[in-house]
Amino acid sequence: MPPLPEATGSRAEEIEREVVRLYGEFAEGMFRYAFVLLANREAAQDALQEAFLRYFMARSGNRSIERPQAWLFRVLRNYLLDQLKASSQRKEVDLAQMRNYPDMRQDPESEFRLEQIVRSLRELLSPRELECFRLRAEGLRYEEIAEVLEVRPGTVGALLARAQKKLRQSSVKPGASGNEQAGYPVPESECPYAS
Amino acid sequence: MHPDTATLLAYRDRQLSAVAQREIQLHIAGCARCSAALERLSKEWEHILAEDAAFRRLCAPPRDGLDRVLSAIRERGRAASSTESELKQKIVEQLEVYFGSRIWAVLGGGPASEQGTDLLAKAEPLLTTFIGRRAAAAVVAEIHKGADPRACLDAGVM
Ligand SMILES: [Zn+2]
Repeated sequence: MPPLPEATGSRAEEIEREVVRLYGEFAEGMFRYAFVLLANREAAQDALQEAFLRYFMARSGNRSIERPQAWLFRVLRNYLLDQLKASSQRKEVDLAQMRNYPDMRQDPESEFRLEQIVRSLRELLSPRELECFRLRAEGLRYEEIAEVLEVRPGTVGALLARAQKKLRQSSVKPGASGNEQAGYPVPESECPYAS
Repeated sequence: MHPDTATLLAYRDRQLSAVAQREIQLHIAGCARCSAALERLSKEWEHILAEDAAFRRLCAPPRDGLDRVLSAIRERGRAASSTESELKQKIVEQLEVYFGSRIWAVLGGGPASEQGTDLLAKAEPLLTTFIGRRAAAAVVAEIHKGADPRACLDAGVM
């Protein structure tokens, strides 16, 4: 029988380089998006890994991906929704769990602050508004956000307007001056984003 | 009519169509109310993004994140290539059972240059000629399942 050859792997290496480049461009934003949804570092990292793995597999199957950022976020979102669904069935995901998965890089004070920010955001915005705001803050265009969330671009505009209004209102101290009630300038200590 | 907040935001973000973008631009140029609203919305958004910087600083993927992704990719690649070479090996063995080792000369080359599934696709018409369409399809299905296609004989397909 004729000998079987070794696979050259050059195509795989090429796609791997593509993954490295995309990871450099989008991983941080994807991680933050996953984190606000899952409130769990390890789970967010797993989700990120899965999204890039699926990208690699899709490209290995010669699939052409025109807008990689939107594609990666959409795949990430689908994975996150599956995880949330599975977790809600197991009643496992909760903000209180965040401290059960400490990252050795972070000091407890930073983790606590991060938890506070995420908690405020999740209390303030509806899940859709939160996702939409996060995606916009990560630089996605309206049509890309629409693709990720599977909604019309017009809906993206409406969600962003509501999110901005709520974020602005939450930043205003009760009884503040007219200028502050308009949302600007905002006293930092009152803002859920305040550092 | 004044554009609503969502439209003003989309205008600010340059997310409207070229025509709509131009329409709003003209409206704002002649409307103090919308011009002021746009300025307020833009400042609000800048403020929100500035505050988001704290979240961005605190929330970053682990430093070895990329290494983990690449390890997962390579692991998956190894698993896939091992499955593929097992499949290919099986196809080569089974085709030789049916046609003998001279089959490679008939097919125009050796199995070495072929992917397992391509090889099977190339051989299926030949199998059809010899053993009939139904039996050839059954043999191919058995090979795909990883079973020994000679089981088709027992099943009475051929
Ligand atoms: Zn106006």
